[in-house]
Amino acid sequence: MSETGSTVQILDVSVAAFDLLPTGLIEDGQIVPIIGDGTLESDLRKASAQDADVLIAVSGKDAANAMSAQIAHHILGVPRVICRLSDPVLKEMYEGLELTTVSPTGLVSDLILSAANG
Amino acid sequence: MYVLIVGAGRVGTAIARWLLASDHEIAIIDNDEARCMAIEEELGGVVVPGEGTEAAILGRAGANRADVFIATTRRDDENLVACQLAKHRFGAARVVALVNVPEHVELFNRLGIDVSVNTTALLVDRIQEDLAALMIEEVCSWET
Repeated sequence: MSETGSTVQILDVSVAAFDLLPTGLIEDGQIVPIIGDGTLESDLRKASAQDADVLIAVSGKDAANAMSAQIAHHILGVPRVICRLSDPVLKEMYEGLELTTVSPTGLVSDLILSAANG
Repeated sequence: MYVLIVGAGRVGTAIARWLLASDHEIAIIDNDEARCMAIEEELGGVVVPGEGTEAAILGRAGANRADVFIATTRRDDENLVACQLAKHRFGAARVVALVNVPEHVELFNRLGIDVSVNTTALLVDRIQEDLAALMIEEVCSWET
């Protein structure tokens, strides 16, 4: 997203997670790493989530992603919220509760199916 | 009344004991094997091992017929997801959640959790009451 001209703030509780980010884009200010807990409204505000056009919750935990996404949607009024959910039952439920969700397992199985179908 | 509890920590276990003593039917879900065994030993066959955020586990525990569903883990995100599953997927009549981080109370209320128990506020209120009582006692002792 930073390559398309957007500014991206990345929130994570672990400093080590930021080692994976491209240093050039951090130095240019296009990616801003912020230490914090995405399930806390106060930390999301620290990352200016209230001014964001899009919030993407893609941690490794479904419950944490669901909570971050709902804080962004219902409390901070972020216009577009995308939530990663591995559990298909949770995915179905939260889609019914106005969240846009993505599932890594769903994406992989869709790719395999389309490859199998030629 | 059938009450389904998620989390066999101190709070969940104390609620389970009290409900059983009042002749209610309960089940308690926990993901920790040692805690499950301890509950089983003390309270009998009321334990459903597993994650309270998984629909299959809630289904096995009879969430669809729960009059009250109570999520008591230390993680607010898990309590929220468990309560939302119980309410929206299984139609539990009333959902109650422990809220460990006070700033989460507004979200829980806004998302339709029937009762959000703010554990921090409860503790602070109790300490304030005890301190006030101590201060009154001290003032009274000056006057005598």
